[in-house]
Amino acid sequence: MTLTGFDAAELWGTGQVQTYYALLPSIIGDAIFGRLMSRWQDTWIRGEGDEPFLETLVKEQILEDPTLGPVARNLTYLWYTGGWNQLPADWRNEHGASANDQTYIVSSTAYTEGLVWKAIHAHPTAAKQPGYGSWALPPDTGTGR
Amino acid sequence: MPITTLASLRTHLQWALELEHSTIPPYLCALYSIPDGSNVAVSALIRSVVMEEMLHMVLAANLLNAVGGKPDVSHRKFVPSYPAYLPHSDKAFQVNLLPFSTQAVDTFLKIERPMKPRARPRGSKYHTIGQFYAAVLEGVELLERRARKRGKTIFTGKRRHQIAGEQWYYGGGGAPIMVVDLDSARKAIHEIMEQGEGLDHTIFDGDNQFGQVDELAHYFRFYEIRKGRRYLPTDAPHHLPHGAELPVDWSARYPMTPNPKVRDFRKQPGIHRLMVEFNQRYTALLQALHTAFNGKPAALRDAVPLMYELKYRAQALMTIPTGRADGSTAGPSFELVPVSAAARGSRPSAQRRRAATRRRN
Amino acid sequence: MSAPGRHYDAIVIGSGPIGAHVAQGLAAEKKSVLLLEAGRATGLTYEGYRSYVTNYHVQVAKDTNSPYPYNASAPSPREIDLTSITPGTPDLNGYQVEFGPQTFASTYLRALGGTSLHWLGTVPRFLPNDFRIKTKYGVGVDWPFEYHELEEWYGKAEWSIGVAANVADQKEVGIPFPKGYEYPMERIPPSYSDQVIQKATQGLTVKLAGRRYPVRVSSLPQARNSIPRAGYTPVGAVGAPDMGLRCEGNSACIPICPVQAKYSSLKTVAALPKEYVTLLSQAVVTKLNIAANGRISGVEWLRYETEGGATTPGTATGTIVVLAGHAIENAKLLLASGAANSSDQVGRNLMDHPFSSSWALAPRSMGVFRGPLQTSGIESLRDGAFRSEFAAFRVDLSNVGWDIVPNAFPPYGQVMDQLGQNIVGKKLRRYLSDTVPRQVRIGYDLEQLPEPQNRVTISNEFRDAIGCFRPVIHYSLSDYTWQAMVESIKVSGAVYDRMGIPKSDQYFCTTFTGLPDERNFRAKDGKDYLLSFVGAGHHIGTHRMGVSRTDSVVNRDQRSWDHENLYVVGCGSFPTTGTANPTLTALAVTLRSVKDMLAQLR
Repeated sequence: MTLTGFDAAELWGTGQVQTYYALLPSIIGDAIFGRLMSRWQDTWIRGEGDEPFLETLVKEQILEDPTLGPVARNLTYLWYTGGWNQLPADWRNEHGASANDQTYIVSSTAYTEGLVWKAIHAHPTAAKQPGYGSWALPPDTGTGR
Repeated sequence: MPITTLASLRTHLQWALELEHSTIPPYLCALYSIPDGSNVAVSALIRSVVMEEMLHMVLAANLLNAVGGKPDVSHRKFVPSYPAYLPHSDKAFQVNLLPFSTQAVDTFLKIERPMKPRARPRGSKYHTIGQFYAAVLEGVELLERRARKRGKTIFTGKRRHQIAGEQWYYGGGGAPIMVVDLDSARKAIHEIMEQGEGLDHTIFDGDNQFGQVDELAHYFRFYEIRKGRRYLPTDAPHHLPHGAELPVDWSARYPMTPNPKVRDFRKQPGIHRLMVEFNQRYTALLQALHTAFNGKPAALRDAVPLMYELKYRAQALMTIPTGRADGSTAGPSFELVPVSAAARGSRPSAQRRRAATRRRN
Repeated sequence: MSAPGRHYDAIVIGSGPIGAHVAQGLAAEKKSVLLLEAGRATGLTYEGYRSYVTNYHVQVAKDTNSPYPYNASAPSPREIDLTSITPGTPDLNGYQVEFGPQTFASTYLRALGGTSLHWLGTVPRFLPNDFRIKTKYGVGVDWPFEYHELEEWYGKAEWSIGVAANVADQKEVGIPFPKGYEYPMERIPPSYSDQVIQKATQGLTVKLAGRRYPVRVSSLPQARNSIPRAGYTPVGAVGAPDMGLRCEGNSACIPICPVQAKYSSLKTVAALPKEYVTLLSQAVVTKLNIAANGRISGVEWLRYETEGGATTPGTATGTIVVLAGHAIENAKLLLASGAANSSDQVGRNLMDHPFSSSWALAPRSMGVFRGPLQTSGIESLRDGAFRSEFAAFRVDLSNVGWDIVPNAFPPYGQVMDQLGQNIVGKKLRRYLSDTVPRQVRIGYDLEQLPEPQNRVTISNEFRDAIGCFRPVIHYSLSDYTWQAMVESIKVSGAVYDRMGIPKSDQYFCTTFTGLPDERNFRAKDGKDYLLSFVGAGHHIGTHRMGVSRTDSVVNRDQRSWDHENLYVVGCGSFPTTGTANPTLTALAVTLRSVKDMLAQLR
């Protein structure tokens, strides 16, 4: 939620939770994955209930961490697009380059479930089409919750 | 009881709308529970039935409008609370909102069961949908015959209230028949009966307006799924299908919890909100249909995007685990919400948008 | 050399809309046809077509050929292969060998259905003046016939592929119609953003070469299914006739319409009568055989089983031979065969509609990424006295925001930018929600004049995996087109001003640098502009029609001056580009040519 801006039900509603949960350690290794998860848990416990504080913690504890930051950004990118971006060269030099760390779209459904489309009140191109004439109607403009 | 008054005919046609509609949520639950890309042939079959049920609603509205009635598809009780008996049926069986399963398909077979020749309804409770429409047809014939004797007609409705072919489109399912006289009324009723249960002694629905091969009537389409086998053109109604295998994977579906209700998810605000939003869109859809059936056929175009949106929302719900021990997922509940909430769920008006912008600033 | 193959009334090379319609027209008169296609026939089954769709989903770069697997035996150009050209060194990166100085940045597709698999499906007619710009404006050349000779064939073409449009809209653009003519389907509803732009530009005019012209937004005719008019039944997906009966707003016409509401020639090919038409895919034609009497006796091809794998030669003879393999491939094959080139015009006068864009951020949501890629254009600047000085343009309004900008389609670039600044969560979601839907993109299909040095050639140095020639391209724009690009900035600016967009949110073709095609240009106002453009995919002019065998490759019936039984058909036959997307006109011209083909076969 703090990374994507979508709540747990919305994330589960993409059908991708389990896929991504399995994907991440296969790319970054169990050790770093474990660190990310425990750091995440600590941050969540400290900041729960105070959103601005939690956002600051996420930034300081995760996004600005040289190891976890690139992973967290990539994870957010994955949720938004269904695609994994190869980690930065520095990161790969430091932690070893996994063969699975490639720039690619995870699957057809990962693509269509990318959150970016919901964020912009649209639908993935070539999927989840809105129906004849829908484009003539005024757009939905809410900015999320 | 036979239909002998215009008031009774109108009541029956209003019931027809309720009846046709009542089958749609259960069919949609089965259809949407099949993930894209699996059970492809099965989902095409179910989809084709849903398209035709929607067309039947339009035909029922055309019939009711033709005889001077006012279709009402947005009243509080229009949507049954599942599990539910089919409206105005003899309560022989209940219909549930279920994911694709043998149980679901067995119910569909009961819904679309062919009428036994010369079977008569008891009172105003009908054993099959075919029986119901047979009574409607008899009523139409009788009342129009009587009216003509007096130099009149029962077809006094406004022509502009009729939904015409170019206005109705939802991915196939045929074109509506405009009902303006006895002849077109007969055609409309036959269309409903034939697509549902087949012509008297065949498995086909007699509908080949697009120059395609005859389609099976609904009952037989569901029977193909149940048996995992296609019918051959030579198969008779009392036969098992003898054609090619129809691949069916009963496990390839989201495990939607049966008959979900919004109130069951009060403690899960994420799911709760998505279910309410679904119902808001669903209510807005029925309101658009109501407007279209009551003098503004062009409103159907506004209904189209809502139908697409409902699918995507239903499928998202069906992938969210309920957290229950049975491993089930949430699902759409098809409960009407109060009008104001539905309006909130539809697209924001310019005024509301401005208000929202002010709030943000 | 294999044994001589079968004889057919006609051999048609290429299964795009033009070749498919030739086959259809000949088969309707019970002529035997061999239809040869270099690419795969994947799209001919519903499942095969769906595999293109899922392939599109998983491609990182979603360019025009991204859904269609690379075929080493019948390669196609791709945008992602393009790089800037260093003068004197050819760009060998992709299938096309590019000598420049400008990159020829347009693509086409070699697969059953041809480029109509990835085309946009926008099908305006040419304007009457487009057929006579030499006479009227003193530039370019005239066509060998006038608009009125094509009028009937335009109608036939529109009914054959299924065009959605309203006659009244098109009359306003300046196109005449016979009394009582109706398009087969109602126009596609204009998008919300079209409506906003139309409202904002009411009464707007711009000054071009000293005269004022209205800036008028009008609906575009489109080859995609909408509400049918009397007498027309929409054609659905190949193999799934219930699907695709209406455009469903997939926002992906280019590169693929997932429901097949957009016309592709798969629909025509699938309906060809098998008793008259033999379809052979994976057959790359390598040579036209010329008999002693000057007639084309037959064709030779190489057939492959696996992409890039071994090939088997094949031949057939035909009473007539129709080359419908695309402007570039047609020229290549003629040059490789030493055919039809007594005029030395084969491969020359290569043109496109160089496409320059402008971008802006509207003050409110435009509802982008919904609907077909385009539903309206500004069609009022397609003709005028200014054409004696600079190119005319057809202005298109994007429904998908900032396409053309790298990483903006799909809008992943914005996600990346924000993440780079550690913006995540609700802030990220709100940023995307507030900005992407406000994107506006206005693009210009610019006219280009025929110039002999812009050309396709072949060279023994450059061959593909099965030994066929790769296209070698020399390409540049003249001042006539560059100047129009400068004028287009004025038009976009006027529209954006009317929309209440601050100057700081307006971006022009001078803003984004780093595209393969950019150039410093000193305009008529004495100022220097760094201009950039991309290709429109409208390959025109490599085997042009004319009235004399000395300056054209084919006559008004698209028949070779040199070989009486050879037809070279398609957009390559156009003497000039006009501003309209060319496929409909190519089809109208070709339906007319079928008459001449049938006369030969009688």
